[in-house]
Amino acid sequence: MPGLLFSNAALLAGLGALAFPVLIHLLLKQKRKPLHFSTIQFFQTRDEKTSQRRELRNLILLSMRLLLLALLVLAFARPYLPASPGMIRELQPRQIVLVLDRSASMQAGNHWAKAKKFLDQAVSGLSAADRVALIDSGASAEIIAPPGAPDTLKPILQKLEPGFGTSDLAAGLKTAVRLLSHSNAGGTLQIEIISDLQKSACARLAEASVPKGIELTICPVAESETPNLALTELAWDHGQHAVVLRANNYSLQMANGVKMSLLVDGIPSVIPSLSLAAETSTQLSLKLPGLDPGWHSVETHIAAHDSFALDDVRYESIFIPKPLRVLCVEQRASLRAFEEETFFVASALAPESTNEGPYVVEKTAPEDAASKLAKAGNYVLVVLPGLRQIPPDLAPGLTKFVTKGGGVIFFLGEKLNPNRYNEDFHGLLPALPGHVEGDEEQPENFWHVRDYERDGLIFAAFKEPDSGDVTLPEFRRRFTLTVMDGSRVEASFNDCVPLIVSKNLGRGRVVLVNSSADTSWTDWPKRKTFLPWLYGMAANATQRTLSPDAEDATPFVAGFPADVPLGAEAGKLALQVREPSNREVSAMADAQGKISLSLEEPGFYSIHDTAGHELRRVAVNLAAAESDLQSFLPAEITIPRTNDPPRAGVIAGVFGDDRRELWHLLLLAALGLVFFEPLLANRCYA
Amino acid sequence: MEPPQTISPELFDSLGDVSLIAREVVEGFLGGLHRSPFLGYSTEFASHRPYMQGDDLRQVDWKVWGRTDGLYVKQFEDDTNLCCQIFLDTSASMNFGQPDKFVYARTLAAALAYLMSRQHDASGLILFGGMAVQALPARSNPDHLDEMFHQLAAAEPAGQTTADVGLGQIVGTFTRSGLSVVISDLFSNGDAIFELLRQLRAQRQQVIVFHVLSPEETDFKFEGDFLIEDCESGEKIPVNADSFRSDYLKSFNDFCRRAELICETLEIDYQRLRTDEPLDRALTIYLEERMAR
Repeated sequence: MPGLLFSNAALLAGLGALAFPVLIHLLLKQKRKPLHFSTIQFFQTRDEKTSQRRELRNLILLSMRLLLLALLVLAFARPYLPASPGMIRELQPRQIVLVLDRSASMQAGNHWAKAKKFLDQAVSGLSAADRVALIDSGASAEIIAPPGAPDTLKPILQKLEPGFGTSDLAAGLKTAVRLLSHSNAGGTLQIEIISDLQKSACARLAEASVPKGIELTICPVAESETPNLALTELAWDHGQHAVVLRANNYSLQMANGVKMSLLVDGIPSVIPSLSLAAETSTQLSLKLPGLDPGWHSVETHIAAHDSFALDDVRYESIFIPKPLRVLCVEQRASLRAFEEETFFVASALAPESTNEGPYVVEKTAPEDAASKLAKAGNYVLVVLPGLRQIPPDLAPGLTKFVTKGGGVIFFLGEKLNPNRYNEDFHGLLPALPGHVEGDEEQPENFWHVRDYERDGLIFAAFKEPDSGDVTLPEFRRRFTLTVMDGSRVEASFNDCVPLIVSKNLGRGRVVLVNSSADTSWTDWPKRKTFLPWLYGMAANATQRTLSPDAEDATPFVAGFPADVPLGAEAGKLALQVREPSNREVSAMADAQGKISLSLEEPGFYSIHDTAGHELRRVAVNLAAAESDLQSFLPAEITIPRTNDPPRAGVIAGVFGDDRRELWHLLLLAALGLVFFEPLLANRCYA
Repeated sequence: MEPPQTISPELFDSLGDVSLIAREVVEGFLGGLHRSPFLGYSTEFASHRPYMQGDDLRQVDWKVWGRTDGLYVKQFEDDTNLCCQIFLDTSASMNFGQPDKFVYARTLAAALAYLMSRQHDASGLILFGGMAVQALPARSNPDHLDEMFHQLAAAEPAGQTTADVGLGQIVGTFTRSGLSVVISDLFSNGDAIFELLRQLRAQRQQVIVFHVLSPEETDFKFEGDFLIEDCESGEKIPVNADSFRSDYLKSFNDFCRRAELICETLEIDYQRLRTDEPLDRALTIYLEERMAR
């Protein structure tokens, strides 16, 4: 009998005594004496069956005596049956924890219907004395229902719906084990995992461990094969003004001519249909039309008609900033723009072919610059070529502008009077010009950029290999410079004379370029590296980057709560959040300007202040891993079992008073044989 | 007067001389029959006739001569007119028991032969076992008794009692009515022995059957398991004596009753003899039968 144990197993050696009756039987059998008799005619009358019956009775008698002896030996050995899980279940109330996978993949096919069926069966099979708890095995396991009577769980189950997040069964399992370990109630312990066993959900199961005292059941709900075509990525490419889309075909069959659609702020755009081979993925770049400054919603859809519809759509939010205003001081205004000294700079910052650049450039005469700065007040950058004349109000105006946070880029030039510069802009300039040097007739003496701050904003565009060689431009003329204290040399010529020097002033920043803004002293404006370098210069001076903030670019995944940064200016602001279901939720940003959102479902979350000004739009998508519906079979899952005693109650249940002693039954049977044996014996020998 | 001598089973084993035993038995038996009515049977007086020359003077009745002065000779009934055949079973089944059935039966046959000789009866001996042999034809001369003893001493039990053709032929030669004494355990293959009895009766023979049985056969006081082996056929049967005793005794007694019934039907005197009892009863029965003739 499996599981039969003995308190005094050593006494089982007494079973060897069974050999004696057998031996005696055999010895007696061998001693049948031969007897010559006058005739056997009187013996032939006996029925052969009588002899056979007698032999049979003798064998039965022998067996009975052997059994009697064996029963006595076994009874003295005190056999018992340890309490099996089934027996414990019968004897004691059950403590069962249901670990439910509510990830988005459970909405595929009829996974959720099966899961509900398992849940109903599990709960309906419990008695009132049993206790049941329900755990959502999300990325961070959540106890949906603490241990309680089965009836209390039923209304919860009726309202229960699958979520949009991911699942980590290991987290759910750990929580379940912890819950059972902390339970003080007696009874058998059981965990039931109800899941589609998606591979991503089971990835960490090997890290979990379940004590052997806990019965573990896995209830799979997934079909053997669930074809799925999914959009798994949609990202905004700021540089290309496009969105990058990735589509995956998780099916074993090719997807042909799947219709796709792109919606920008709800307006559809025609894009080609999608064809994708089995178990492959592809990436598409979809150019977006011109967008006004502000937040925009971009959606892509595919008409996959597969078993999982949630991943047939992907969301992305795009913020188009307002152009930054740049004031270029031009001292030789001309009808022919290319003759202007700031022509290359202005054209680079704001090309006339498009009005979608990040900068808007205004030109002004030196004498009007101060007044414009004072009146408008919304410039972020002032570009000054080497001025022949310096209006008296320019220096104070610039100083005030910079102090308040503006940026200024000083170029130098042939007509510049260094003494005047040093006097008027003494507080602004990061380096003081001395005298002009350089001979345009001797190209071999032209200077080049050698050392520069590779990690700074100015040369950020050249960090990647093959992104442009800034050492190629030639510098024919320059000033000798005296770098002021507190200033920073951003780049130097090959003879270590500073090329670019910057310094902070107040909240603003001043950058000095030891060359002309046009091509009179250098050929850099004619080279390809000029544009990105100038953008870097502008970013450095204005202390504003044009690419999205890395923190802002973090993708948001459904089912995961997230802190959304809104900027320091939003600190402590009372806000409204419009969820994908158009539900408005009130929230408050923290001191750092972050707001915590639950982000339960995929879609757009619009955050705006009480005046209706939209501060942030967040696109929330399904986790890409949810789209891969490949699942494990229960037999393929290995969950380590530990010998840790779950708790005292279980130990008592297995090894304590619940064991079934059998010795009294054996003695009773032996007693019955003692009474029955003489009857048979007398019949045998009668 | 000496007490009647009986013969014990031990004596059968110790005495090898058949004639000696027979004489001892018969003399002892007759000694015990003092004043018995059996005396003189063999010299039964019939009448007187005048003496004729050549008559034996010993036969002259001198008392009559004294009274009448005439010589008269006594005439007796024919005292050798009984022809007695002794059938002795020499089958292997007789070689069984303590005392041995064959020894007992042979002694009985010898005693009867001696007694017959004493009474001037003609006696013959037929041995039947595996095959029937007429050892000696019926005669009454004194030498015949010695030959009878010699044949009995030489007889050995062997073979299986069957309805042998030779036995039938022997019985068929019996032309005179007479007395046949069958000494046997009546164990035969089928009803061969009873067929013999029927033939004897058909040949006008008065028959006495001495059914010789050993105490082991009549009582079956064995205990335990035995492998019973048939003395005649050699067939073996495992038997638990304890459990089978009642069945055996029932079957055995049924057999004996059947034999007795058949004998009664054939008007045959049936006598059952145990080998542990004296031969006196058998001799008495014989003499009663002799007297009746």
